[in-house]
Amino acid sequence: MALSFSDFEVTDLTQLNSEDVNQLLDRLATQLQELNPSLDLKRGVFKDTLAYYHAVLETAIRTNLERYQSARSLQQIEADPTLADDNVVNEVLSNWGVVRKEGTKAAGSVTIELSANTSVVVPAGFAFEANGLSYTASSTFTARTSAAQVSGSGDRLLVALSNGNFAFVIEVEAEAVGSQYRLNSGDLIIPDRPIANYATSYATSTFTEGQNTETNAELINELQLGLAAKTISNRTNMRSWLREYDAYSSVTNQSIVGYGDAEMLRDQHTIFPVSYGGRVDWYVRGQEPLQRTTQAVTATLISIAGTNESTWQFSLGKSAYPGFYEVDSIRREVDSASDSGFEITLDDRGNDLTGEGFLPDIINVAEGAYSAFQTTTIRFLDTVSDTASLVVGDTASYVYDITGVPHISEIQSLVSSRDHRSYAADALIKAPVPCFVQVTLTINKAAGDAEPDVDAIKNAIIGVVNQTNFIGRLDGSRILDAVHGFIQNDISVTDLDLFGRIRRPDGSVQYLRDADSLVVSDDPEKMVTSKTVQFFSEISDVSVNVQSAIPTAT
Amino acid sequence: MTQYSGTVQEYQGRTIDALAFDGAVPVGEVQLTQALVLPGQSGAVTTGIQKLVQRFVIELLTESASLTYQPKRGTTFITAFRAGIVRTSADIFSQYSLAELDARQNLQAEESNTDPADERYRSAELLSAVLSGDTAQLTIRVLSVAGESREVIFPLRVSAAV
Repeated sequence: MALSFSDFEVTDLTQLNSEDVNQLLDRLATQLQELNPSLDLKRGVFKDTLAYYHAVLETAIRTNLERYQSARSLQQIEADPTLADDNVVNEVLSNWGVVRKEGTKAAGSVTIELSANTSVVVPAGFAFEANGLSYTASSTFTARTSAAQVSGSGDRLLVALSNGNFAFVIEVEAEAVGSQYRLNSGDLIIPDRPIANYATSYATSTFTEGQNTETNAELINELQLGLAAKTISNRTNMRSWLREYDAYSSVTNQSIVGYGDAEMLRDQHTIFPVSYGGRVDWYVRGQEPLQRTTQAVTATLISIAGTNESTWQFSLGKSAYPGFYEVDSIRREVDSASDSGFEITLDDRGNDLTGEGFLPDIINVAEGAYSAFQTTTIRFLDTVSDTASLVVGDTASYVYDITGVPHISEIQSLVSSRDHRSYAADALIKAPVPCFVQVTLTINKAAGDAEPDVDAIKNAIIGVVNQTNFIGRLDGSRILDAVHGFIQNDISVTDLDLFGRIRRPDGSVQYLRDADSLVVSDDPEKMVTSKTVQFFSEISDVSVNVQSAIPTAT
Repeated sequence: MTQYSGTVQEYQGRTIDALAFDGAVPVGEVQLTQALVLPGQSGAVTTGIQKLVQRFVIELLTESASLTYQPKRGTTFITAFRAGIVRTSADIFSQYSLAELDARQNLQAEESNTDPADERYRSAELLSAVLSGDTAQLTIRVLSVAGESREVIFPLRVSAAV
């Protein structure tokens, strides 16, 4: 039941607190008895029929008033945001310019591979499932066998793949709002009903949208941002300024490193080994989950080693995927996305500081890593293409998956614009230093226990990992806590294993492994500390083993 | 319908309750009307043994757990009728004996030793039970702590006419 200033309703009379009703009844009886000693208010019709129902109605009114007052009071809302009504919290916080971020449904493209070149129809609303979550086709799509048959917006051409299958692409939308519905490129998404000649299906590229509606607790945390001036000044002001832009509503965790922070290296560009300020490294997690996108590129052949072994190279400029983390799964355009891809032999990062406008002070690769100025040259080994007719310098089309977080370039442009830029400092927007996390655990159950919902458990685990703020540690207890929400009886969780891989800004890799906690080492000279690192995990990074290891109690 | 009325003097020193079942006569059987206020009339108040009797009747006829915030109040007597358990007079007696225990516990729990003896519950005996079509006719003798001795005080009415 919604309770708001504009929609004030009496609480359902069966949902009152029994203790409240009886306390009020006793008080009413006592007061009425004092007022009129000749009435029998210990028992009987006056008490059990008249006073009782009055107490029920009065309790309902008082309950509503308490909720109303609690919701109107910031102190009460902050004391327990879960008790306050959403509508009332919206109205109260709107007084301070804080607006709740509404959730959105994830949507994206799905590639369906068929084993034969035959036309099929996927009707609107056709259901798909991925990781236990449901999606539906956004309209009716028809796979056509020839380009001449493609006329309407729902017609899709079947493209022959190197594995003998034929692929076409459709658009789907999540059943409900939430970030857990976001799929990355290559994630399997399975039709709920049979499709003729179906071989496989997967997300073509990272889904767009797919955000959670802000909870009351999250909204309260933003209250200070509503009160703060929206300007690039101190940390609160800066986050408040960024929150003002709806386009960046997917941004979650942020860390702002500046003067006095050990991680700040850009303000030491002097012959003296001291910090002189005036530099800001603003680490922005553009969205909760890792974004994995598929892009096409033209690569150049640089060497041939054998009949089917050739080395190719391509470069990504700063606008290819600003702030990206890694390139992986390079494959030919005709190869299925389910292929593992070719081996990358070189990832040579750099910075491109050309162009118009204000440019931050960056003097080496590490300082510009994961920023909008980062570039790279990728070299990989193609072990499939026939090299007989190739010569060095030839070009060919490939596709690759690339990971990162969105909005790095857009926010950098905004921060660097003359209207917004601090006249005394240069601010560099960076994606957080990534720690890619793999989680493994075992669920022990008795033979008679129901199978746990593994997909839901995996989603809960990556939720914990991806929501961890800039605190420098991922504790196993938080993961176990999430898992325990899905199990009951004597079911237990054991063999927790956390494995982390930090790709440092200088390109080196640090591995973390622990059964208890992943703790980020304090290496400010490498810009790796709790202020710079964020944990990322995808559904494929979580392994949940279920075994019937507990004897049935007799 | 003749309405018997007590006098103000009879109510001296007693606490009163609203009359829930109106129309009682000094001798003989009559069907009472369950109403706090009869059409065109004022409500009435009562005291003494009649207060106890109506407490017992209300307790007996209230189904257990039907009062949301006082789930222990009431008995299973009417519940048994609703469930179709009661098919013979013997069934009524057995169900009544169960219900009377609950009623006794509830009624005595809200009494104190300082209350007038004729307003305090001792027992209620089912004297006869007759099933006739969809009607059950029960004769119950309610006994207060005062025992057989009692003074019946009729309801006190206030004229509704102005």
